[in-house]
Amino acid sequence: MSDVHPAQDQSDPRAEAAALRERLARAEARVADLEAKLSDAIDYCVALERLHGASDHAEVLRAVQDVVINLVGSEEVAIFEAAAEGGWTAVQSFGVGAARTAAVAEAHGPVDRAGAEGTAWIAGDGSGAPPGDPALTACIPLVAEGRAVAVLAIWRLLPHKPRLRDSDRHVLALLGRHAGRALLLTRRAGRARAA
Amino acid sequence: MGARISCQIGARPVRVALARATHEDGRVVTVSEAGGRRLTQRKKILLVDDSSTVLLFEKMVLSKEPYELVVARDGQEGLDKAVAERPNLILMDVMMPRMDGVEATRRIRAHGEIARTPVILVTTRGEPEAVATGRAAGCSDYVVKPIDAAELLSKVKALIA
Repeated sequence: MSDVHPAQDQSDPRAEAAALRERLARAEARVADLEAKLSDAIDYCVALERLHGASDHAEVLRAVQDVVINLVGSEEVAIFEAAAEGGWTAVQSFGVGAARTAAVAEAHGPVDRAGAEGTAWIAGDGSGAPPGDPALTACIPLVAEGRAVAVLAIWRLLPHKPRLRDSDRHVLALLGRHAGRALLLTRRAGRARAA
Repeated sequence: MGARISCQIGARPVRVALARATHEDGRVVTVSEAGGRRLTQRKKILLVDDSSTVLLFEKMVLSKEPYELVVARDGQEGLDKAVAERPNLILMDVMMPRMDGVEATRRIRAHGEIARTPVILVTTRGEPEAVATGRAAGCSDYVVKPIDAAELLSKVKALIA
């Protein structure tokens, strides 16, 4: 006869089942995390492909807008370039009218500050002065050769999207680095062709 | 000196039989059987969107699976290709030039030969009213932009398993 008390039996099937359920839950959480990372990675690849696959200046602008609408999730977006007479001019926009773009492009406004400082402003980050337009979500300088060649402004996100995620910030940072360069190079190429 | 080594690999000749199978929706496809294992054509998915970004995203997500992908850039082209290509599934954007995705879905549902093709609407509008409009037009499911890759893949597989 065994002198091991049933309660002390180390092969308790209930304990084993509980441990297995816990392992399964951790594995499922890990899978979900990896799937989210994969989706984010696809976003980054798509954004890069769109920017570097664009053949001219206008197509780069459209690509940036398209990335913001479909990967970040906003249908209120504008891209500003430096005007010859100073200040910033909206050269591409979706979902926002001339009055709203002009308002944020005023001297010392959010677009001007992002362009001058080369620093992104994102609502809720606690950095920089208030934007003036409460619907503004982000102003992202698109930088090349150490200066902002354009500024991307994003107003309201889609209704089902309460805020920017970390992966959205990565996409915007990616746009900041690569879209600026693409815009500068395609602008120069266009001028060279016209000359 | 030296050695000659030979080996014999036993192998049964495999008969490959060609057969024609009829799907539920009336499409007739050619399938082959080899060694008792059934080989079938790849499932075909029609991607309908005017956004190059979305099309690229969908291709990247779906290219890892054994699907054949066909592209259309607006609702009218989507309808035409649905008739011509007879896809197993359609991913349909809503806001498009020429014909929007809701109208294209209605016309697919009204077209006898492709009426039963599953349609997933891809939309920026997840509000109940927008979803109801899509359902009323006959969509099988929907995904909301920005698209989540895992959700998209899960819904695609659920409809063309």
